[in-house]
Formats: sequence, structure tokens, C-alpha cells
Amino acid sequence: MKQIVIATDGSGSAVDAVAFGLELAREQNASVVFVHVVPLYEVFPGDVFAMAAPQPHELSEADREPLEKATAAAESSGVRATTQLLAGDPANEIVAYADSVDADVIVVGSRGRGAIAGAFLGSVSRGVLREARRPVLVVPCAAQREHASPVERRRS
Amino acid sequence: VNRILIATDGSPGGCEAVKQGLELAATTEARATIVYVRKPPFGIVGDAYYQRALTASFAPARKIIHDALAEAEAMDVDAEGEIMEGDAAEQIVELARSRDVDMIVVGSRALGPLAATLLGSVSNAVVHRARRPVLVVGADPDARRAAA
Repeated sequence: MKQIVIATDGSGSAVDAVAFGLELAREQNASVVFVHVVPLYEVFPGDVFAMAAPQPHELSEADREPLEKATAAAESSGVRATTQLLAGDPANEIVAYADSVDADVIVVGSRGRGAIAGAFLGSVSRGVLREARRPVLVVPCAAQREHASPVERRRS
Repeated sequence: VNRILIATDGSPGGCEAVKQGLELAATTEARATIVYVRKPPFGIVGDAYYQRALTASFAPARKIIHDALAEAEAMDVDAEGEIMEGDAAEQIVELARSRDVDMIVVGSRALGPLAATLLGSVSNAVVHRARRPVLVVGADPDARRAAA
């Protein structure tokens, strides 16, 4: 495994995906690209009588923040990492980017910061799983992860 | 990553899961558990039938696990084989829990150009139910074409 693409949007489960992906990269001595996808357009709720019109998304410092946090995490664990900011449909962009660098694995969190955070598998991770023609690693957030009790472990 | 659970059903996707999972285990010096889940035989028809069906379902299971373990030995990976009975996703998740593995590797059954767009139902269920990292491995494109 040489090239790992880790998708991050700065959400809790993405931070855990970054952490697990970095652990993997360090063990495999692989290089990492952090990918964050911003929307092309944004729909702001209009006034009571106004139509909600899509506006082109303007890049801001906030868009780079997830990537900067991830890079800081990579530095502290001694992994070579670069970043890539993309715009468009998250799942499609992540998969297309992974294809362009011929990544060995795509790492995604199990859910992002979408509106329906209750659904266990987020739309982006589902989309990546569906579209990708290469291995996909889905990492659940640490709070959801379970560990066997000592009793069960002894029994096995 | 210290413990990896690899699920296989002998399909191209399952074989790719074994290959990728063992490669991962080899570089991280992790211990691998390779599991095959077979369907329980239809029990109510009668004991003679049940025994025959049981024997018949064990034969491919043993072969698949045996081949996978041979592959593991060739790659110098510390591996154990398990044959479970029941619902595949349920058994995989349960075994992952009891062994407290750090990662599950499953193949995605993609047997044709059309099926390639669908995530296998077992890998899908494992991703949904396992509360730990799951690596979903697609079938090798060449193997996929051969199977199609």
C-alpha cells in the first residue's frame, strides 16, 4: 500500500477516519493525500417573500480548515501528507481524485456532517462505496466503536 | 492494527479480500482470522439428509479456508481459520466483536458489469452493523471479467 486518500470534512467521524488512516499509513509507510470537497453552489434561505437562489460557493479560510487540521495530525505522527481541495459532488470528486492518483485505498468516515446524521452510513461514504473501483475503508467514529468485554475475549 | 478479520466466500471478491487482507497483515505484522460463513442445512427433512447436507456444505468451506491459510503461510502471516454457520454478516460482525479485531476486510460481490455498480449485500450489512473499521475490497477487474 503506497498511496492512501483520506476524505475529511472536519466532522467528528472524519477526524476519526483521519486518525485511523494515519495509523495505517504509518504502519504501511504510505503517503497520504487529504481530500476535502466543497459544494459548487450554496442555497441560502431567502427572505419570507424571496426565492432561495443558489449562489456560487466562495472559497474561504473555513474551507481549508479540515485539511489544515489533518495535516497537523499527519505531521505529529510523522506521515508524509499533501492536501487537495475539490469542489462538486463529494462522493464523485473523491472517487475521481482517487482514480487520478491511482490510490490503493480510500478512507472515509462512516458519516459526515449532513442533515440526517442519524442515518448510520452517511451519503458520502455510501456514494464512495458505490462508485469506487478500489478498496474503501469505512471508519466509524470512536464513540460508536465497541470493544469486547474481557470475559468475551477470554471465551473466544 | 494488531488483529484483522478477513471474510471470504470463495468468490472473486472474497479472494481479493483474502489477498488484500493478508498483504495488510504482512506489512503490519498483524494476526489474521480468516472466516467462512456457510448456510445452515435445511434441518427438518430428516437426519440422513441433514448429515449429507452438512458434509456437503463443509467440503467447500474447508477447501476455501485451507487455501487461504496456505496463502497466509506463504506470506508469513500468523493466521487462523474459522468456519461459522448462519447469516454471513451477522456471524462476521459477531466474530469481529468477540476477537476484538481492529479491522474487518470483506469482499464486495461484483460479478458482472451490472452487478459491479451494486455493493454486495453482505459487505453492505457488515459496513452498517460492525462498529469498527471495515475495508471493502472489490473483485479484481480481471477476475470480475472472467466471472461475468
